[in-house]
Amino acid sequence: MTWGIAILLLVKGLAVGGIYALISLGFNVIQRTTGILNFAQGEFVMVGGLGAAWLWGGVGLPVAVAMPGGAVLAAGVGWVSYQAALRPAGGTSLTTRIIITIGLSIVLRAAAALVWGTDPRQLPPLAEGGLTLPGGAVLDWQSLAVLAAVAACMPALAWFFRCTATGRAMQACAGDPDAARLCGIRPDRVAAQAFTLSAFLAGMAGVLLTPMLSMSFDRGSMLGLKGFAAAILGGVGHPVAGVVGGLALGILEQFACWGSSVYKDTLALAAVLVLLLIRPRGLLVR
Amino acid sequence: MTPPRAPSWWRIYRGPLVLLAVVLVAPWLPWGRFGYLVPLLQLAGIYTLLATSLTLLLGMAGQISLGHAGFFAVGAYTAGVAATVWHWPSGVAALAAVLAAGLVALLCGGMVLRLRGHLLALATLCLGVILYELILKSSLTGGAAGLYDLPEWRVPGRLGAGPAGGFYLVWGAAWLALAWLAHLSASPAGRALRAVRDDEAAAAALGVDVFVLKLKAFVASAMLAGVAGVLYAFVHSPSYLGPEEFGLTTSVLLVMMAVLGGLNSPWGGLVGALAVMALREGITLVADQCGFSGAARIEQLVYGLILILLLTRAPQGLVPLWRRVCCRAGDS
Repeated sequence: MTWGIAILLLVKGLAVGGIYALISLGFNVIQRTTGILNFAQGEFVMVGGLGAAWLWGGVGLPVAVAMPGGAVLAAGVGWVSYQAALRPAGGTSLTTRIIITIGLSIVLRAAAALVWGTDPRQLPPLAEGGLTLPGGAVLDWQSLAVLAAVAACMPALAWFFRCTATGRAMQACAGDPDAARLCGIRPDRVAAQAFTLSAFLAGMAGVLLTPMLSMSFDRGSMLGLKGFAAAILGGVGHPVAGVVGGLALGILEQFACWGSSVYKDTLALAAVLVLLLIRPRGLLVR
Repeated sequence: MTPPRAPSWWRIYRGPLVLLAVVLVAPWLPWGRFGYLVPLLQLAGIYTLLATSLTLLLGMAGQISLGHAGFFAVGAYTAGVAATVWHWPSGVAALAAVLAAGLVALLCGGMVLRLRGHLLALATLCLGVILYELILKSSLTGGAAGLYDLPEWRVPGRLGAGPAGGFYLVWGAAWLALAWLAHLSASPAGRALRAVRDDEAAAAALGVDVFVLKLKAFVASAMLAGVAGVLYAFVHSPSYLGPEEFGLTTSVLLVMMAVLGGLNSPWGGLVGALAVMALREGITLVADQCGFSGAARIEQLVYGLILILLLTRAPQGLVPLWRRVCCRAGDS
């Protein structure tokens, strides 16, 4: 075990974990405001990544425009998804609405394959090259950009939830939808906003991930699963905890990969399971 | 206060009797050029068994499992490995497979059933994926290449050669499971399960041992999935057993079937499984007729859209929708 490799794995883990953290933030936004466990979250990530790659490679926009474009596209898809699929199911049980998001993920996957084809698409990284670490390992700028994005998102989200009317309305809905309705908040509209925001965060994760690993229409479900695991690991309903969960999962995965690459996913999931059993309310929530 | 009257014998068992008649007749109908649907119905029987196991767990006991394909896999692969690698007699292998599924569920359930809601969903999902990955990566199970030349089960005698040979075995098992669930649903144990589903604290206060009951439901449900696995290995595709059928997609599909059928009725699993299978096959058939045969993506898109539409229009599931339609017709 050399320290150089350990540091590299740690930073790689943090970068991948940062992506998971972004997805888990999106999970949290929807889960808190509506109670829905969104199975289509990974598909929002995929739409963001593929959308940005299409804007860059297909339409020919510069990268600096295509990247935010992908995230905005994902946000639009999130809004349409809510209005078309979940709003009509307003008064139904939570289980039914959760199953509807499974249907939604099937539709989004098929639509993406129809529109953008089944081949993986690429995006160029934000900047070439990287930073040479003391151990001789090279840390690419893209990983650092992911970490910076996550670090920027957390205070932005905290500000959004605490200081804007929309964010406070979302918190009110999370606390007690009936009381929120009495205060003149429309849970329907707030839920639509939560889906939009959540899909935007997921889209951003997709945009940041695509230069590292490329993106194809069927990558969404695994990413959604990891984001879900991250959200639950940290503790549902606590955005910072979700970020910690994401980073922990990313590092765990990288080191599990070092031990035995054949059982990488198995070991990561087994670790998630063990953590769930010993800390059922999350790593941070007491 | 008078206790609720027990439902009459006929009310509980008329459904299973009608189903039995349909199952006995089905393979002998004049299918004509649609004869290929009989093996498909056989697969639908296996899915009915699986979805019914979830109706028991999710509908009656209120505990979600997003890893049920894992128990399906344990059943199928224990049977397959015992019969082809260890050369056990197929009956013994099948018995071992069902017991193995139950045992795995007992161990896993003992750990995860203390969790609730989304946490239980994630824990069972992890279990399912871990079981799948172990099977995919192990050398004993043949990994991604799978197992070949498993023993084939047919109905003995002259019947076995016809289309009914495997059909009767699969649907016989599915029928037994459905009849048992209809019976359970009307029994004190069924009421205790529903009490646990609705309010664990209240159920415990009334003297129900909540954890043991949840564990029993989990093990029974996994054993049903194990039976489905054995039938899949020995009856449905004895020539080849591969890991594709046992992933997360299947687990999610099973929950979808159970919910689409309706969680409040013992028939939900049957209706949901048949509806999903019919929907898929119907879309392919229509696509073929219209000359779209290559466009699998369009089929997936339509499939997803119809599922969303059904779930928004019939949020309680198809069984209650059917009851409502029938009542309306009866009133007028």
